Amino acid sequence: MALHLENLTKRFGKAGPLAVDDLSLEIEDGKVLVLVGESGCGKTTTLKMINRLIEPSSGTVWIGKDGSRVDTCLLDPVVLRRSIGFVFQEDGLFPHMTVAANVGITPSLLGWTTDRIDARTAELLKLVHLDPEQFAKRLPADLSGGQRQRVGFARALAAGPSVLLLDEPFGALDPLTRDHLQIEFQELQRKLGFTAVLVTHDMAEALLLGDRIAVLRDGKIIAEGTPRDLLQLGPSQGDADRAYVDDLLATPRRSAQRLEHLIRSGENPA
Amino acid sequence: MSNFSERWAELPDLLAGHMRLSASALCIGIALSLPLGVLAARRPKWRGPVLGVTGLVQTIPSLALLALMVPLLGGQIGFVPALLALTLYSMLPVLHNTVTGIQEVDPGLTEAARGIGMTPWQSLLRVELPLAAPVILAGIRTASVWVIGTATLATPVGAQSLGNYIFLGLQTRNGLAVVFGCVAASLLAVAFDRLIAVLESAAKERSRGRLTAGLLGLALITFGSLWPAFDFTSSLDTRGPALVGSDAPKVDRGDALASVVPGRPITVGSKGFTEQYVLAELLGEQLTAHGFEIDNRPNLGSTILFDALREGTVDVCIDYSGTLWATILKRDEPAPRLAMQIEVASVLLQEHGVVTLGSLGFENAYALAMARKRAEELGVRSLTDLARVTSQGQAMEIGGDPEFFGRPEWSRVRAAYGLEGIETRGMDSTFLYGAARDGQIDVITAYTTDGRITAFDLQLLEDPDEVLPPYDAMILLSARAAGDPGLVRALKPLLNAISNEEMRVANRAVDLDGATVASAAAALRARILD
Repeated sequence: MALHLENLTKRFGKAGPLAVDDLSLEIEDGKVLVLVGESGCGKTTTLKMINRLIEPSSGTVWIGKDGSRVDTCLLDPVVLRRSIGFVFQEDGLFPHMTVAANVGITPSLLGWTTDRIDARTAELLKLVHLDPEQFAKRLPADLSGGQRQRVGFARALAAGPSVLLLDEPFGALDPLTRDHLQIEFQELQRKLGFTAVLVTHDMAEALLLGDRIAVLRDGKIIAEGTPRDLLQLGPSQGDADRAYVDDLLATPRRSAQRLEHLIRSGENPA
Repeated sequence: MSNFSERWAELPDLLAGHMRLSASALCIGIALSLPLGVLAARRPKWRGPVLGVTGLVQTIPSLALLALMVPLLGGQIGFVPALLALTLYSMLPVLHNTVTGIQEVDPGLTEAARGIGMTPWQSLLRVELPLAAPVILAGIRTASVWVIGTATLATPVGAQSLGNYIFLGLQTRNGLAVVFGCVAASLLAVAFDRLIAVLESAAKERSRGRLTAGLLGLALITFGSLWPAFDFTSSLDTRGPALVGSDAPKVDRGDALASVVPGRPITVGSKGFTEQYVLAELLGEQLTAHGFEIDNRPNLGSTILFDALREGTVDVCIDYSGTLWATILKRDEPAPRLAMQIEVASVLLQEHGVVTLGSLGFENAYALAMARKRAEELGVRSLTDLARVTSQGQAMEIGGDPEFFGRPEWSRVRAAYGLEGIETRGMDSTFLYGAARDGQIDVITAYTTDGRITAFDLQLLEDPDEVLPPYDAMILLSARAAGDPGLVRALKPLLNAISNEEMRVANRAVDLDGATVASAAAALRARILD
């Protein structure tokens, strides 16, 4: 499924500031788009307008493939959300349900049989490297942060969605776990081929995971392209937005340069 | 000990009545509060009004709320008004905790519920209510303790409950009965409190075992107490198994004129003091002996009793001419004894459809009384003497129930005899007689049939000008009961059969000698029917 955001605008309240300001964006089928920016830039609002958790003030979200696309505001929001996976910032697992019940919830809303849900749940837990025998009957409170987010991924993928939305999915994890899960996410995406929109404030993560990256500032896209496009942007020359993108890129650049230097000087970087 | 075993024998029926009332009120209260609470949690505009109205109900004293239900339901007494009041009473804690519980659910989780495609209804049932369950159960726990406690106050509106013990005990100075009723109601409340606490912890920790145990416990205690109510041969009767069900004496119905409406028992109503208990028992025994089935409704408030009689929910009761004169006829001028009886009887029949069968013969009037020794020291035999002593500068204080000092007859007595100089002190009638005997108070307002007048050696002061109104005890019948010749025939022998002294002896037996109401009534009946 491809997504096309067209002139999306969101204003909270009648006279509130514009959270998202006339934003347009194309996301190709099977690709990962990363929305990156500081908190309050409108990236999460944009994400939630895609599955209508937040209704746009104006503008359109088109969803579809090869010319047969549909305006999402014509769809039943409940049906729309069941067909799109969502991974929440703080895992969003229901604390009163077991791991298996959490993973199987969308299939159960869709009316699958118990046997089919059980089989699917076991399959998904294996996919996110959790042993069903060991984890299915546990409650979320008994899991580590990384295990919980793995369950969160499994739940989002349960009904086999072709679009996955991820709201800072690795933000609450320690660096090592984050690293593992980022790699697992990439593997999953390549294996299953879903289209993904991922929100983060971490430019290194954006460069690592995105096929394309959109940089948001004050509800507007100030830079958009492949990771390579962004890294090859010229000097800012007094342009404030360009300078802002440079700032975001500074930290990963420094890390990369340091690594390169260490490798060239013959020392072991690890 | 015999007193204790009598209390014990009444327990199954009273417990069943108490449980039937509390459990029904709780079930209906929860069924109403849960949806209202959900609505109020979802719609902030509803929250203020809904919580405000139920909060307002909570500020009405529970006894008043119960009593208010009777006129609101057109004079109906018994289970229904008590149920309505207790239901209202149970709603606030459940409603409040439902709103709080749902509002306290992490907004991230409700968003997650929407985000994965739940409808608002699915989100409520699968996420919000399960997560709010411990808080909601805590509200149900509070409500159940309140309702079980307050159900004891349902006795004055004619519903059977463990409160029957308490009201009977307070009025007949039977401490054991009061304690018995309190302990029984408390144990019931504590049992509910503990069992619902188990459900609460089960909800918190998702323990199926504890959930089952808690529910099983609640079911056991509820249906266990309700057991006597399932026995369809018995009626809920205060007098316990001795007179209940198939064991009830089946006396010959040879006159073939028993109940016009077979199958429905005759309801005997009474107010909440000793003499009324004894007379209700007397009426009951007399009717039972003539083959009628009896349903006793003791401890009714005075106006509640009359309303019930008018509506036909009570069939037979005893009331007093002076009381009816003032409260029903709304008259405050004095009238001679016989003239008042005739006037009262005609107004009751014409305006209220209540039939006056006749008077029992004795008068339970207000009189002023003094300790005999003190009266003789001061040379007081009548109200005229009392006025003379007071005007000579002797400081005198009169104690009485507060109701009396508000009545027109007190202002008339004061004016007629010149008693303006006397101090008045309002206090509960229970303590008056002892206070007069012990010299703590000079003069008291007494009831002329109270057993303590002779027992405490008190002297009734004469009323030479006949200013105090007459209070003849009269048998009143509902229209239905009056249309039953068998019933009228059964009660006729009681008319003009009881003297002041006879009544005083019976009252004294209960109040001072610790006799049961049943035995005092049986003795009275034996004496007057000989």
